[in-house]
Amino acid sequence: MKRKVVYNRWKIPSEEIHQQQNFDTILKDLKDKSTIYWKAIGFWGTVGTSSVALFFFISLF
Amino acid sequence: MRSVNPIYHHSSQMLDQERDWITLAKENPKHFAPLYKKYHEQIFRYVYQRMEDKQSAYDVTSQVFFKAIKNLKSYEYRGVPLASWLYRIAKSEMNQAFRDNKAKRTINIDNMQVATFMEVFEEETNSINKKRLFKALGELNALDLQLIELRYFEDRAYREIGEIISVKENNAKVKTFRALEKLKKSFNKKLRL
Repeated sequence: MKRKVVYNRWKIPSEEIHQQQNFDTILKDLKDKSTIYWKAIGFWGTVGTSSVALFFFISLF
Repeated sequence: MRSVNPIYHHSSQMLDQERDWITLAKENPKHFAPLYKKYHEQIFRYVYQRMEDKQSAYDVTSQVFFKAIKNLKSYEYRGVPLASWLYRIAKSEMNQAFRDNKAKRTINIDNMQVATFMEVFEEETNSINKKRLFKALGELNALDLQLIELRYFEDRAYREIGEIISVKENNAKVKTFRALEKLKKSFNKKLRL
């Protein structure tokens, strides 16, 4: 990986960093992403595998 | 004189307080707020030290806390500050950003740090040596560069470095020494060319 060397960069003051804090946005993102579990590949993988297993189980008996 | 990271050097009382916050946050992410407030600046500075663009560093920092809260249930308290876990997430998120070309790996160095290296290498601080140092830093492998940054750019204790890179304190010390030796060798190689 190519790297760039930056010499004597201006230090960002703590006040500016504090102003960028966005805990509520992170919580909101967390809530939004946790409610769309049905869009996850893992969810459909589990549902698909269970459906196929159930199909074979019903077919056999 | 080496400065001390006040947030890292926790008293047992502070560690207990942190453990309580983590327990509460595992039940409800809202309770992560004091930990976010405590570590946001520290994690941002760690990320920004290794990135060129400020906005990308803010984005990666947000992503670090997002991942931390999301995976907090799997976090096990081991008597060390939560920061070491956050640094490991930050490293992984930064690598992802570099792979996706969302950010460029940057080495940030100031005149004081250049002077420190020149003292260690017993060389004069001038523009030629400065260029040789920058070239040598750019040639280090990822782990060696991280060790140099953690120790010589960010003044971290070996214990903290060990926690960040998941090795024992003594091992961190040995690895950092070897990284410095490699840097010195690379620096001197440039002299012969």
